[in-house]
Amino acid sequence: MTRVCRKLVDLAARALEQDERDAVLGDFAEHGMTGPRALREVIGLVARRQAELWKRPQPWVALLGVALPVGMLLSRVAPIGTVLIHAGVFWSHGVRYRTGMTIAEEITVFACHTIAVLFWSWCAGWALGSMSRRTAWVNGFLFCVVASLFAQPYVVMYLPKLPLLALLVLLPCVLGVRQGRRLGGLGRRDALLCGLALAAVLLSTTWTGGWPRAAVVRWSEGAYQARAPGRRA
Amino acid sequence: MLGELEYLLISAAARLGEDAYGVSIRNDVESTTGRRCSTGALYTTLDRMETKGLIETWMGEATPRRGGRPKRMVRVTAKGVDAAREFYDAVSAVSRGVSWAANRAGSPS
Repeated sequence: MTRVCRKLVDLAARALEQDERDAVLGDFAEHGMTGPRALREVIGLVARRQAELWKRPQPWVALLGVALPVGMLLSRVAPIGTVLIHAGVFWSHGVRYRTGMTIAEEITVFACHTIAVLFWSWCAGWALGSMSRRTAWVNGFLFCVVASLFAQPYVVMYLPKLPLLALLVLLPCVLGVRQGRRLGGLGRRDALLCGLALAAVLLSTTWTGGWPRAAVVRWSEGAYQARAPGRRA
Repeated sequence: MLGELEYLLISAAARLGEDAYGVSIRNDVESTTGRRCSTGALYTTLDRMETKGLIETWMGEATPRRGGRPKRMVRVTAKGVDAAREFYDAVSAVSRGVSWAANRAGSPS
């Protein structure tokens, strides 16, 4: 219990600045404070520090300007949830969904959207890390929650697959936050490269985004399109 | 004017002099007032007071007793002494004539 608490105290104290972390952990050692009380104390201090930081506009700009909108866009734009469910079903049962697409088309859609999710998650993490360094982890966490939970509604039916979706968002986001915190802003050349990569990823997802629907229309010989909501037969 | 906790911390730091740092200030406040002082309240208040120029802080030496970690030392500035005096005078002035302050040792007459 005490060892677990000590590890948790060390982990929580990492949210503090180096000098303050040393002073606080030194105080605990001198005072002989261990276990749940030390954990409560350090969490209390971290919470107060975070509350102070959130009185400034930067964390709110990062939250409302990047974490929430990009997270929601990411979950809506990329049909990654569908693809992951199909991949999961194939992996666990060896059955391939009849999507109407060829295997080459499915792999292309999967690759394009996976790259898009990874890259956009990294970009969002990097933006959060460089915009508001000390609140980046809170904002990064909220971004991952929004991107995962707001994914297409039927993904919720497949909750066991959600960790995989979260992983695709979480890992690049954590990497982006760390790099954003360390490097701050991008140079002109890197910014240009990043912009080009963003455009390429956007083009590739736009290009392949309509393939699943087109395949269903083709497979149903137009019946799906004719019966689609908002369309008269 | 100072807040209540600010006054308690500045008084403890002034009393402790060269030995004023996190744990010693906290122990002093807790033993004097009988109230618990959390780490969060202590360090955020010290920061606020330093921003106001009421105290100065710096990292002191690391000791084995502290697991090799340094202390955050505290010194009250002249501005801090003035602010504490102003607070004390104000509390003394508003306490005149009230029942709980009358006939107490050390109470202002």
